[in-house]
Amino acid sequence: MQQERVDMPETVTIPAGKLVYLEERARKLAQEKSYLQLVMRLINRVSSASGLEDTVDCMMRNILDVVGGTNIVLYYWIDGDIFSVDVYGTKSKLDAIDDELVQKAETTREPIEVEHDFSDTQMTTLEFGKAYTWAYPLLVGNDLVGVLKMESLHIGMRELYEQLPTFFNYTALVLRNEILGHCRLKQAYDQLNEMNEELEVEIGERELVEEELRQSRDELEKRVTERTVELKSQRVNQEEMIQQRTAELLERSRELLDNQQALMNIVDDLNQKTEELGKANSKLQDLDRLKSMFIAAMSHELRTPLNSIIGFSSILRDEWLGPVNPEQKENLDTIQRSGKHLLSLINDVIDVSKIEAGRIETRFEEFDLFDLLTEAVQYVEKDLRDKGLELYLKMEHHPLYSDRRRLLQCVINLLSNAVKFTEQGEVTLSSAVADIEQGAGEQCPSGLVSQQIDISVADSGIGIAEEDITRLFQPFERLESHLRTTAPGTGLGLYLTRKLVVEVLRGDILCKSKIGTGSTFTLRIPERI
Amino acid sequence: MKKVLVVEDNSDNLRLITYALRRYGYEVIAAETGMKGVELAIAERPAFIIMDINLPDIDGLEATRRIRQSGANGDIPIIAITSNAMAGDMDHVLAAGCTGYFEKPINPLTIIDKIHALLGWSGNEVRP
Repeated sequence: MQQERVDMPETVTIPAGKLVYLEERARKLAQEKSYLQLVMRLINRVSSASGLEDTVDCMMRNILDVVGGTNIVLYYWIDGDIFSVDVYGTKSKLDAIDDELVQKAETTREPIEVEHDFSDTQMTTLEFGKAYTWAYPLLVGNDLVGVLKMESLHIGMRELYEQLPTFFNYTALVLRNEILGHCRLKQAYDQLNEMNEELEVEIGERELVEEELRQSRDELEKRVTERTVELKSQRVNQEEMIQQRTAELLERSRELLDNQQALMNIVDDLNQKTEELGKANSKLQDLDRLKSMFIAAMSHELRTPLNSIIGFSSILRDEWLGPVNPEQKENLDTIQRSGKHLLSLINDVIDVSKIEAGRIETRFEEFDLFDLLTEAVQYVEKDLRDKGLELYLKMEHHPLYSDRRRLLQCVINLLSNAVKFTEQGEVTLSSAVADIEQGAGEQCPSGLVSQQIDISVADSGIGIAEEDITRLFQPFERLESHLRTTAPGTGLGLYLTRKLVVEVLRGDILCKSKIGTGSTFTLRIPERI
Repeated sequence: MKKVLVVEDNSDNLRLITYALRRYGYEVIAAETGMKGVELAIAERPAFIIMDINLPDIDGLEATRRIRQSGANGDIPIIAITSNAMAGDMDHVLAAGCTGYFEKPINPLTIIDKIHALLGWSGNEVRP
């Protein structure tokens, strides 16, 4: 209308035919213009989209919107892969093009138009009785970007057909750009993906390594923790041990101090005791001197009156001063015997006390054994005679160097005992070189080899039980026998004899006895001391 | 009758020895001190002297030494009477000049035999 008004001032005459033509041409131009406007609108709309999917989607919707048809399917290639997408958004990847028309268009690269019935539509009017399906290759230059198939187009759209290549050329360009962009994006994405995968692998590996490291670290930490606990407990144990040990040591130290103190006390005590002992010792020595003096004095004082008792009674008894009757004689005998007993007791006590004090005096001299034994016999001859005992002597001359007086005392003691404890039979005194192994002689101080001499006194008396023999040499030991009360004795005789033999004569005394048969006492002494 | 000097301060012992000596036919001169003994030994010239060692003034050893030193009868036998308690002093007895000694107790029944044995005399010589 507007154009008509513009054209109005020029008033021209137009022939009817030409007018029809013009009118037709005007209509056509208007139509083309509207078609172009449609295409432009399409192009504008499609241009507004970005990205392959968006663009395709936009393209499909706007084509359907503008062009119509029952369906529009776009086939396109990306890196040789075939994709199809329809107007409903159904998108699929194809192994091969499943549409003949499209195949043809792909091959020929020419648009193909097929006319067909609207058999599959509800359209029943004649005008819409015919429909078209187009397969339009989308080309950029010689490159086929895709094929657009538009199905069952309205017949009225047929006229649009001529205008469409512009749009499709543009569409192809856009599509190609989008595909290229998509490809680049995809490539970049793939590259990124690849890199990502690599990174992920790397990350995985690193994570693995990290995991291992963590595990190692955890293990290490665990071990460290365990070890720490262990060490702690050990340290605690050690500390406990150290404390315990320290306590023990302190205790020990205290004990040692105590002990030291105790020791010092003991030492003090000992010193004191030593001093006391020294005093006691000197006191004892004084006492010992007193004792010795006492014994010496006593022996003199006791023996002097005893001398008189024994001496005067023996004079009377032997009738030096006139006859005595038998009863008087017996009484005098008793006095004499008692006196002698008392005297021997005193002498023995003195000797024992001297020996025990280590103060017995010794006098070694040369003498003949035979002479000594003869002298000893003289002491007991009278008693032997009185008892009616036989005396056998088996003596030899033998030079001795010893304490004569003490040996004599010992022999007399043994002879006296033999006489005392023998009621009938005999007493035998014998001497001999001791029958002991050769070479057993002892070296005496004079350098001569000294033989042992045996002096034996055997009797046929009451004898001694074997179990009593050891008791014989104990002081004040008097064996039980029927003779005990009648036989005089101090109980010191054998004790003293043994002491004298061992400590003065350096010999020994041996005893063999059988109860009821008799006894043999043997003095075994070195011939030279 | 031979004279014997007995130097003994104990009267009981003296009497006992005297009994024994007289029984053997000796005449006994007694002295109760050492000094008296020395005096009588020189004056009376006895056949022998019995000398107790324990005497109140000078002891028997000193008396013996003095008798020996007098020169008048230097060779007169002197028999010492010792006690058992003094047994260690026997050497001193002999060293002092005694001819011999016997130990107490004095047994009157055997003393003369002992003396004769010491003097080397046979018993029959003097036995009554």
